[in-house]
Amino acid sequence: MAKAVIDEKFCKGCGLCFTVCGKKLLKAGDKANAKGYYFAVQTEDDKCTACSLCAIICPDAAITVYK
Amino acid sequence: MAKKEMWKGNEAMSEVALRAGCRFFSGYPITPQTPITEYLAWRLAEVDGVFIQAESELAAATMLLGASIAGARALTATAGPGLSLMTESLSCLASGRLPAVIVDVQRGGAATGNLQGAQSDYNMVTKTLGHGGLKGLVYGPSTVEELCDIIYDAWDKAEKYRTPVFILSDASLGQMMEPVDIKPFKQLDESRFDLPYVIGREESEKKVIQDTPYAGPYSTMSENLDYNYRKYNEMYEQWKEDEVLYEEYMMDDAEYVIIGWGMAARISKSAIRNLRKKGIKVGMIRPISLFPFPEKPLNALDAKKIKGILVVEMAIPALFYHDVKAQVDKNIPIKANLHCGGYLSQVDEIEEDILKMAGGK
Amino acid sequence: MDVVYKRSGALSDVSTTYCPGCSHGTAFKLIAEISEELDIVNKLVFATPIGCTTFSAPFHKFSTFMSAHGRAPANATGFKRCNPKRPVIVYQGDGDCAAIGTGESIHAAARGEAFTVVMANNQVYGMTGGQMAPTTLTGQKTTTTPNGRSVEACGYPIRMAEQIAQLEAPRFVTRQSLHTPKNILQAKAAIKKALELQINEEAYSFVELLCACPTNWAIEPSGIKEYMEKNVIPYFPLGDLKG
Repeated sequence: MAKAVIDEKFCKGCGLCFTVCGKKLLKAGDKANAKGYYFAVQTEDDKCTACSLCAIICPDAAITVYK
Repeated sequence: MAKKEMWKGNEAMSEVALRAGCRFFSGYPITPQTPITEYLAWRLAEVDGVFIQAESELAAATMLLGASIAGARALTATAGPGLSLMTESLSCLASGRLPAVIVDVQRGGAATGNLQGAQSDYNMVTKTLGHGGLKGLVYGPSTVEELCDIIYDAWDKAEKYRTPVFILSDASLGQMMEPVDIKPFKQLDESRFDLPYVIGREESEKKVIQDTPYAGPYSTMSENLDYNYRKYNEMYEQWKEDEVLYEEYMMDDAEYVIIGWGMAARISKSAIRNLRKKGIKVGMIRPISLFPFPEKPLNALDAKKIKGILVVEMAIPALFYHDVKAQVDKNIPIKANLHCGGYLSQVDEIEEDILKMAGGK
Repeated sequence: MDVVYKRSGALSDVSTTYCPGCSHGTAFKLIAEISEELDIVNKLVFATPIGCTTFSAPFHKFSTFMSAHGRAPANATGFKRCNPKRPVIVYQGDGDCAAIGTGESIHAAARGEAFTVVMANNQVYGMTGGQMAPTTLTGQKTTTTPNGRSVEACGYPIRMAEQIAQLEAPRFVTRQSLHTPKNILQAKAAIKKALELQINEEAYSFVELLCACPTNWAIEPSGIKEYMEKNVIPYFPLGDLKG
């Protein structure tokens, strides 16, 4: 059981996390944040391995990873 | 009173700076300033100070900012072309309200110019320190002793007002030898490392030192800059009340007034003494603070009593002359005696000019 | 559940003003993480340049001072000599470090000033909107090289880390990249090593970071990895040059 939680306050929807997730669990959400960015969301968190690659590449330090 | 010693201007100034608490000097060799850099190279080492021969005047002046932010009393010195390179940092010091002392041992001419004394950098530092139109305290001493007196108190003023202090020396003053009182060492309080603009000690709460006052009561940078620079200007205006320095020489019965600063004023004193022997009632007003400019004694010159004013200045085109002209009664005839490029003011020419004004008496 | 990775406590609660995908945020994140690991959050002084990171003070918890364009190494020299107890990072862009501030950069390195320079090399002037930098690649289009940087008119891009590495005083000179998680972790190790050398041995170090500016490269952030590997890294090879 693991998950990546994206803080919508910091996420700018750049999508770098999408490109590094081996399980393709991250995508742009349907909602825009206060800055107007469609922030990332994690789908199917039961497949997350907490590898943290998404958090490492995130330029905005928006991702917390739990395991 | 301490016994006076014979010192050259550049070295005397350097030693007194050290005794005033200066523990950081960054400079780049340039005639006629080099003796300051050479003196402090060995002397600062003796008092555990920091000496850096910088790669340029641009870097030398920039280092003052960092030293000031670390809480040190910092000094640089230069001449002519070096001053041009320093203007960026002068702007940053004035805008960031960082105390530091800068000495310009002026030399003749523009561009590469010449090595003898001149006063042609007057406008460059009295009107604005670099881009942006801000100010600092500017002094123009005329003797080695006065140069020492000014630099001894320069950091006290700089820190009181959080401003750069600029001293306009020149090649003659820097190299001449005169008796001076080499003053005692000032002891600095450790509390200086907690001042708002200082990132001192081993650690501290977060401090943000900006060369531009973006912070303020408003939401936009432009409103805050307007607000903050307006306050700076109030301080500059207050300097006119509190920080003006000038000398009046033989003014009690004067009918003719020579107005000059620094070396030109010093040379003029000889002319005044000669003219007095000839019965001409000449006196002098000599601004010592060039910014703030001594407006009041000039405003007070009475057209009913004063028959003529001669401004003696080592700059062509005239610079200081225009500041004088703006302050004196327009009914008083005013003339300028100018030289530049290292050609010093001449006693006989000054006498001639006054004699012509006095109708060939 | 346990926290495996979280936002560094040395970053503030303010979102950066950088464009989506910009590497400056990544670099800040690494410096913040390292400062916590070395327990120097209240000691570290972050010297900012002129460029996109000029107004970066709100984004982290470090003390900071500004400098005029290119002058941060000289400013930091004055600071560090007078307060040698504070670790200092001089953070510069390529234009700041390798164009307008070349003199200050080279001479601070030659003197071996006890600070760490982190140069963000994104091959473009970001703050002013995408003009040619000293590191702009041959053929790269910018607003001042609309037909691509020509060697005849502009010469070749400067490899700054190599310039610094040939000096005697620098202890550690390296070029790292921030385009993949692996490279980011390697860059973090390099910055940490540089800071440790500064703190323990009063050493000067230079860490060049290949950064992405997707806005001025006119690509999507998803294309950064390919762009870096195809265009940037072949000219700016990664690895330690000294130490």
